Amino acid sequence: MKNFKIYLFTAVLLLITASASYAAGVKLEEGFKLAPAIIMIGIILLFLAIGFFNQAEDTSDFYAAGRSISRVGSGMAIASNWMSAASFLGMAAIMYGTGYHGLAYVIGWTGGYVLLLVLMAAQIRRFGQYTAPDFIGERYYSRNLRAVTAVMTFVISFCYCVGQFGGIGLMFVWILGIPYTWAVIIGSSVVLTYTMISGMLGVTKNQQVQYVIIIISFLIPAVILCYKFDYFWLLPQIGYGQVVSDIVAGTGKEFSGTLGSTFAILPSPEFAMPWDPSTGKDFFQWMAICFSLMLGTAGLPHVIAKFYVVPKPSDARWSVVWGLFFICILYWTAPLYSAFGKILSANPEIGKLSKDAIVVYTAQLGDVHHLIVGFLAAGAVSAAFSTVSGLLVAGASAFSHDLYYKVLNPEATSKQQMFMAKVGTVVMAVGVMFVAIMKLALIAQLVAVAFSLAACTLFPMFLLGIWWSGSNRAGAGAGLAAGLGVSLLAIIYFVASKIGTILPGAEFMAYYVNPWYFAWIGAPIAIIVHIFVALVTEDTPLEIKKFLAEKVHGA
Amino acid sequence: MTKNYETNFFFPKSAFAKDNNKLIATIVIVWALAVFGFHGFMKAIEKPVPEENHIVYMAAVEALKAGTASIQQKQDVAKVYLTLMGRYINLRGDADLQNAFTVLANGLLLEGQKIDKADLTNLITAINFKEDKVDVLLKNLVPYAISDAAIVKIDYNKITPLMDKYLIHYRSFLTDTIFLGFPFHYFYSAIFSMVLFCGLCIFYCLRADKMTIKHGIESDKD
Repeated sequence: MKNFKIYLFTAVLLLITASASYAAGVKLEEGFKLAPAIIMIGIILLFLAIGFFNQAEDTSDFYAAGRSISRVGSGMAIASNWMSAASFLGMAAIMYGTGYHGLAYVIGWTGGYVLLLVLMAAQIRRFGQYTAPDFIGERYYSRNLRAVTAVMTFVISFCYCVGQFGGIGLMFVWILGIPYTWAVIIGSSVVLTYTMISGMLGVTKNQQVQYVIIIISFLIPAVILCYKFDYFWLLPQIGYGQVVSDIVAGTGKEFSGTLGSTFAILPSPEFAMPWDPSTGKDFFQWMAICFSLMLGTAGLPHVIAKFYVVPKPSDARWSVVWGLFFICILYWTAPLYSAFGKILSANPEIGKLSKDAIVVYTAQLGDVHHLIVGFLAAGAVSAAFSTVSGLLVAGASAFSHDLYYKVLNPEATSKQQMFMAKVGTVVMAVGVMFVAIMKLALIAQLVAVAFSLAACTLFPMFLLGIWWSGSNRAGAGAGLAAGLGVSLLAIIYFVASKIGTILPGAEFMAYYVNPWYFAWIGAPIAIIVHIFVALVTEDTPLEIKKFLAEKVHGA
Repeated sequence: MTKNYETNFFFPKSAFAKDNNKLIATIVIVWALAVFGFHGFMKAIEKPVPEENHIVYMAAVEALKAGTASIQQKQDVAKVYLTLMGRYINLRGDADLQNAFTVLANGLLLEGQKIDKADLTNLITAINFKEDKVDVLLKNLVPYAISDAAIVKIDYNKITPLMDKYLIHYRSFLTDTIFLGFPFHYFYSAIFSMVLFCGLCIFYCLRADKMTIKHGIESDKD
């Protein structure tokens, strides 16, 4: 019955959307765009309806969707949860600006799943806790570590959300033609509303629908662009290879876009050559970003939380495979937008474009039908929404379950916990909204901070906690402190540079302990400190070792 | 006697742990070599290769400094400046580059002619653009390259580093080989690496499923 209502609702929305096809054409940047606005509002209403029909009834539903999600469904939810504004908009943006350097983000964000799968997924599911702080609290038999991890989960989710809210804001600016600040406020209010009424069960169902919308909206313009400019369009992910080579060698085709674009570019090898000096990015930075994002992927609390929603450990493993495959479909396609965008915006008349919106601009400059461009923009909003909802749930869980219930008020009823979860969600969303309004960096870079933070703090505790019984409370605490120290250093230097204060060694820090990739050094330091302190302090209790050996590793 | 419950990835005790850890180690090694090994190799074999524009500039710069450059050299270097401003949007408003182009352009005009932004015909004729695709694009860039400020002596200490930064690229056979339309290294990172990651994950899951059943680690129950 619920599904019937959703299908009916979707059909009504499609009719409304179809009626928008008579709307006027779109402009590149300014003005209200009716058709894209109707599509976006329709899709948001669809999400709200799905959330409404799948409301969480108790805390088990809210945190872990009643452990009833299938492998493919969980894979889709992982992918949708993962494919944020950073994936949808940010990756093409960074490749558009820095060429091959941007592929460090593509490889880092996908390669990390291999680590996540072989080192974490099934083991965490076998451990059998609800959230990342639960795992840390139980494994390290420490309420303090649980509390600190809960705070870290909150902070990581917060940093991650900032980039997403920025993406939502940019798309709302493009669609509604309103100032960025108002766009962020409206977008934040909508995503907050539906996370509040749905919880993770609604979110997980929503994320499956969102995945379909995200991927279709992303692929259709890619096929059209390849077809239109006479590249191999049946498989645009391969077809755009010739576009890259054409950029390197220079190209010129007969095309005169309605927005002044042409399909011609001077030979530009810097777009494809590795760590090109013109990008200001070098080999070390490429490797450091890639490494940091990989470790961060394996330590992100909202990704790890997805393993609790599947029935069995083997489902946890296969959900990673499905998730990665679904993610790759988008990641194989994202560089296409940067390549086409590079050529279509080469005409000096186009001027300087906002990199973070280059996906949408590329479709516009290529004269893709405005309804499809609108759908693409709505897909970008969906990508941001799907991730934000998961992050808000992870942040709210950390606040209500791990801090309030497990540390502050163990007597709390289920109703009180739900209330606190909602308070946590509101507090987080409002805070993120204010930071997003400041527009501190590109979306992908803002998200990379969250990854480095997770890699320096949570990843070492998960890795050693699972694979080494000698890892104890003191070691975990010391390692966490070391990882946090490096993280704080990187963030303090970054904030100082943003407010125009030059701290000692600023240049050195900006290069080696950069906010986008400080985990390359922070994570190894945290692991070494963790191991050293664990070796010289009291051993792990026998019952923990026994549980680890028998339940997690099946000895 | 108490049973030994120690867990250590590098010293597995049970038969399952030995099989599982060996599998994990193999996958992590392949993964690391595929990502970091490949890029380390690419770094090791790469060479800084100046593009044709850089060679043209370097061949003419001493003559330009000495004021003995031929018309042809001036025309070629003017096109190099236009190329930079055409390819790099951040250089389009670069005052030094615009000044250098404007000085050179003035030197190319016939006596009595002046740069007129409203009518660039004389200047375009003086630079001698051909009818090929590249020159057609360069011609469109002329209005953006002319400095509105008063022109000053060209500071080649600022211009030459720009050439080095923007017109030299790291290349090797990996970047120059074309595969399925892509430069090979680009294909490797943008397409193949993710295919490999998916393949490694599928391989691990298949093996892990068999292993856990064989050793009785997991059942169909929750």
